[in-house]
Amino acid sequence: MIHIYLCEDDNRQLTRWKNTVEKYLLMNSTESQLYCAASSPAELLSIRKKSTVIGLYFLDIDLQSDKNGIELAQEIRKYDPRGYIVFVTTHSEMAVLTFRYKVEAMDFIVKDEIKTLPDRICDCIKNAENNYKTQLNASNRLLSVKVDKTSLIFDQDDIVAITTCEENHKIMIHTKNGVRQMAGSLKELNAILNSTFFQCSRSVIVNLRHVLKYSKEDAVLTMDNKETYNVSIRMMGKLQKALKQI
Amino acid sequence: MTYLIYTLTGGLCIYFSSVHLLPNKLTNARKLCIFMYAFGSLFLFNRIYGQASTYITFVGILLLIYIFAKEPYLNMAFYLFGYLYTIAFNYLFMWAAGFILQMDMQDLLTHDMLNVIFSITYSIYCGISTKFIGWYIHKKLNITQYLTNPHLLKAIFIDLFILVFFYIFNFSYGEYLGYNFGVIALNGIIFLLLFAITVYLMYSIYKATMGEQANKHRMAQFESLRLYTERLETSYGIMRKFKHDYMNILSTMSGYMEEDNMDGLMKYYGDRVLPISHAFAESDTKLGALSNIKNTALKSLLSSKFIYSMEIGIKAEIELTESIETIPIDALDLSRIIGIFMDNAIEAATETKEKELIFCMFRKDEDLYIIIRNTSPALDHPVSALPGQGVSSKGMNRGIGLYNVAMILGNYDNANWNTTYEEPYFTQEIILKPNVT
Repeated sequence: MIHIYLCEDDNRQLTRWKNTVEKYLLMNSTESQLYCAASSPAELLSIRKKSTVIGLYFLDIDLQSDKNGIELAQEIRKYDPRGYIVFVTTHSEMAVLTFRYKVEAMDFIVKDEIKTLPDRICDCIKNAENNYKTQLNASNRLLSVKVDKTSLIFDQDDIVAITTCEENHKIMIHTKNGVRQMAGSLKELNAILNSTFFQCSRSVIVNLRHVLKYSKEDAVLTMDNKETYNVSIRMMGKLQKALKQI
Repeated sequence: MTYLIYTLTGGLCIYFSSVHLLPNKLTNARKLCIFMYAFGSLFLFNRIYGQASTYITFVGILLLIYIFAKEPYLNMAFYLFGYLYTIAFNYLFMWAAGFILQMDMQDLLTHDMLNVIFSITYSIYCGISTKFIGWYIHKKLNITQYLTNPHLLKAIFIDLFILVFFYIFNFSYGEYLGYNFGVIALNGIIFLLLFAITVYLMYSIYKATMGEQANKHRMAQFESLRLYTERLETSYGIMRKFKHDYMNILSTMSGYMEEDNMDGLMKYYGDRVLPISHAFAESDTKLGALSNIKNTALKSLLSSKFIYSMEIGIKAEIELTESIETIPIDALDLSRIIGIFMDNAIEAATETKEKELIFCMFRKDEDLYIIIRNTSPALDHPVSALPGQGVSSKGMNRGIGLYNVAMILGNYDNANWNTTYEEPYFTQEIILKPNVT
């Protein structure tokens, strides 16, 4: 079940949003419900604090208040770290990447395009509901790594390999389509990773599910993202065994 | 035995002074090759020709470096410098040893035991000190990036070459005449002086080039700020024109309302008012967001890159929702990194149909995020291999950019660098934590 929250300072627009959402909920059989339609950030927050259910938030950016939409979203994140945030804003206030990175916003709706607004709102509700369902299924595979105060969440199946960084004390997480650096050590991670991971040399842990080819002669693993890793001689026997089990 | 040790340490000294100072890293096989040559030529020819054999060693190594190194003149100049350094300090050490032991040079050179000890100590000193100097020059001063003018490089090379030539001539001739304390002392003084002059010369060239660079940089910065102001003035002009129109629009609308002409009002709104708001979003007003960046160097860099990318038809977006006042790493380092990222992004974006580019900078908690995302054709290499030296999608001798970024960021513990490619977007992220000092 998802609770839907709205926040928009212009009452006329707020009513429009509210009608759209109510109509959607009526037409579709869903557990979601419209929980709060607020015209100020303080109002929304006071209601949010009392609830523990995951939320879907439609927020305006320019709220004519002490907080703008982004700050409100950051505040919401404290109480609902996994909630779905959608910014509804004018074209000139749009900052897609900023929203996505700063508060992990799910989507953005451009206010200026009045005709498509109701459809876009409905799409967002649908997406949030679908995502919520898959999240429930995937939750046992997730790897949560604590970095300073915040924690990063990876799906373990997406990780191809974890290596140490040459220059400084950081580790690099290689996924199918990128690399992320973070502070930490392989030892710490090895303890929380599941059994498909295998440390093939002092500085490399690989996910055996992503191994494309293992060439025994040169002791090299080829991964499905074109990366290659050397296997230390000590680990060759163990690796053979581990590969068979997968 | 003494002869073997003597030539071995001599070979080592020459090896250290040549290899440790080179800006280009050599493979182990090549290093071994240089060492074997230095040792071999000394061992074979020193017995026959005396000090004059140094010519053979010296010219041979120059040739080897010329063949091995990517930038021959630069590397040969560094080798010569290292050679001068070892000889000058060899004299200094010899003189000091003679002074401490109260011995004549002639005795010192013919005394086997002392000679061996001296050679070994000196080669150890040489190995350590050249390693340190090499590290200091290349890692700290990063001198090679300023020495790009080929004429200057050749001039430095010739200057050093002549100096070394005379050095060797001097001491091989000295051997022929027979050493005595006076000659050694005189030689020592001349060599040290020449060495000091060379170092001073190098230093002033370094300073001059640095100054020139800084000046060029300032001019470029000034130029791009001027362009930026020009753009802002144009967009201010558009705004003023709109202000003027907007009164007209309002009065027309109120006219429709007075007539109670709803259809006319709707038509007027759809045809005249809506398009204006769209036109606004597309105009130069985007650049105005850069006013949130308080660092001038960064602002001018970004404005020039954006003006350029808009001119060549890239759909560029700038997202700066809050003002950026302090940067936790050196601003010039950050400018270099962003410059490299932007150049790559512009180049990749032009190769795609969508031609999109977004730059975004914001604070999350205490951390400063810098994100550059662009549409890019599919990559040939895994993302993690991109910062490798010489890895590039653009053919040979390219791809130094991201390698430089890796070098710069390697110096900072508070910086994290993430790269992703998710069809069709390529994204570079830099996350800077506040300095813990």
